[in-house]
Amino acid sequence: MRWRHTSLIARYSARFSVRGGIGLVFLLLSLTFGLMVAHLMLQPVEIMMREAPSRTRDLEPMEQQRRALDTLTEQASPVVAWMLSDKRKETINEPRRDAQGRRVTRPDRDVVAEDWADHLLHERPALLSAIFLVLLLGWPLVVALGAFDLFAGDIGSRQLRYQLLRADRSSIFFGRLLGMLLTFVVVLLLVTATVTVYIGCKLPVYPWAELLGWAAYGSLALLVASVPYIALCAWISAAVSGPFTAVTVASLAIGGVPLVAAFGKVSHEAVGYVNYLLPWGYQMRLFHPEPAQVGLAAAGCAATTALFVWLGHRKFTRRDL
Amino acid sequence: MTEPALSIQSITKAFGRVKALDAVAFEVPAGSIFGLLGPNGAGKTTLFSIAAGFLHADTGSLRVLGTDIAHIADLQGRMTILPQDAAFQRNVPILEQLLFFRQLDGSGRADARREVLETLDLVGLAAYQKRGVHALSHGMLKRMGIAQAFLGRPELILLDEPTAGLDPQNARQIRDLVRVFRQQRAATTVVSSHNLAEIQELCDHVAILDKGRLLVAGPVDAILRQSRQLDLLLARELTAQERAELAALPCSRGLEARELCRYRLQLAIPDGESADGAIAAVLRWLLDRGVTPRSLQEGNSLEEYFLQLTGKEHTTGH
Repeated sequence: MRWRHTSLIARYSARFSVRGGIGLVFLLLSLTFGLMVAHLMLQPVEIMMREAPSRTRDLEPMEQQRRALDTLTEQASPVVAWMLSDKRKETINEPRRDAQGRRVTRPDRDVVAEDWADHLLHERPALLSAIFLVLLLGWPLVVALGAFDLFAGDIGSRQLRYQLLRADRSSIFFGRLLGMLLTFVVVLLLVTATVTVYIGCKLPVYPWAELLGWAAYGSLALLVASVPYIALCAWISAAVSGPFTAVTVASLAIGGVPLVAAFGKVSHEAVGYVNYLLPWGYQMRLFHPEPAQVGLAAAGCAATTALFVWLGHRKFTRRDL
Repeated sequence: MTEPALSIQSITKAFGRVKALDAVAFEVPAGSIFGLLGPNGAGKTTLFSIAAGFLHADTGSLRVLGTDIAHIADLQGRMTILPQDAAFQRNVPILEQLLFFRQLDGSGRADARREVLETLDLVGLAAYQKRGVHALSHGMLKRMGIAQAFLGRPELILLDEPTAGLDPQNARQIRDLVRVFRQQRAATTVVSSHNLAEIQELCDHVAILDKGRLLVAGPVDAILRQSRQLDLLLARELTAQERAELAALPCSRGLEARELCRYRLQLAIPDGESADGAIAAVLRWLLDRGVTPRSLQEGNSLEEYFLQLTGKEHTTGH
């Protein structure tokens, strides 16, 4: 592999990736998805403010927003704890705090998940945390739609043949992968920056420094969680010879794992572990309050990435092109 | 002795049960313009694809410019190819695509830009440099393909069916471009085609493939010598005795009676001699027997030879 070629191919791929139809669709889809999630999270706050009881009407708009947000956060807290919990047996409607605001602890509750939810909703900007959690649930599918055509289309149309005599296959593989990662970084930053600025301007209850700091962390976590899926798409794309097959296989692989786990778990508890084949099983822990959990999740993503990159590189360098 | 530009040793490649290449072996002399001839499905593109490292051979070995094909990465910039059916990127301007290729070959951006613009000018596409390939006709796309193949200073250029699907005028342009570029770059050029006239016009060496097997390979002159023929129109019909005598001449390899008073004589020309001596001997024999030749024409021998070898009618019509 030659670094000069790899870097040249990465820059070329990143530069022209958005020009194609697939690149544009991916960009629009990512932005639409990000903004739609942001809008869905903001809408209840706005509705609550509009329908606020008369006693809060005299308050400053920012105080109104803060109260609306507090109420909403309190209501959302059990839902978030349920999302984060591995147990997911308890009902989400039970109050988690008593009248004095103290935590209600019951032996069958997932206390870890509740602490985790507290961290995300009370210690961090709650709206942004909620947006990141929902984004993390949908983002892998966006990745499938953005990265499936890393090689497959150019293998099918034989465009790659113009490069194969000029650069070795490893340089092409890693160059395109790096180019795709670069594109994802730009798109992800665009999405999170838009969402953060939107929240910051719409709801000025969070200090900008806190908002931007959490947005930067969330973007990094989303990127870390995306990389294994991009690597999986690279493997699939290197193994098939047509974009349609690639997008179908990538979507089924990425979207199918949590579906199989969710439905399979109903009959056999062990099927739930299928989620750990991909980062689905642990990617939420990137937002965990304990650094050890974050480290483990990041290590899991790195290991999965390494495996898929190895498989993809092996296939790409050995197959007929 | 100079090392061959391409040395193919017993290459075999199968796609499922279909054997695309069956123990093909020949050499392409350095500095030659080499024609790879064969009907559709003969295995020309497969052989090119193996030589360029696109496909892996099942068995056999192949050396390009003295380098084993397993180490094709070491040849960057020394060998280029015009693949037969590879598309260019639709959404990237022509100039940017060619700049990228040249930079991969090792040029700096400024040098690459100068070289690409010169080459685009030569192929008549300078006006389209900022356009995408969607703005180009089929003939222009071929010229762009030729341009990328001749960019830089390659020592070996593989052109897979460079005139396929082109009208005669565009095909002529492409052949002229190949000739001009080859003179400028002095590279070994391998051209695959099923167009016999094109190969005969362009190439000094040729290999003929059919159904994945090599039928013959060598200098065009030597191959033509084996298949030179005379089409004769005589003033009267030859008797059986005369036909046998004519066929038995030392310069003859056989006589075929065609329509009334028309005959085709396969000539046997010794190495290093022209056909003139054989033609003179035939004329002398005819005149000695009082047979007036009304017309005498050397046949399109490569085509005849090709059909004779492949055992089928030539249908490409180019």
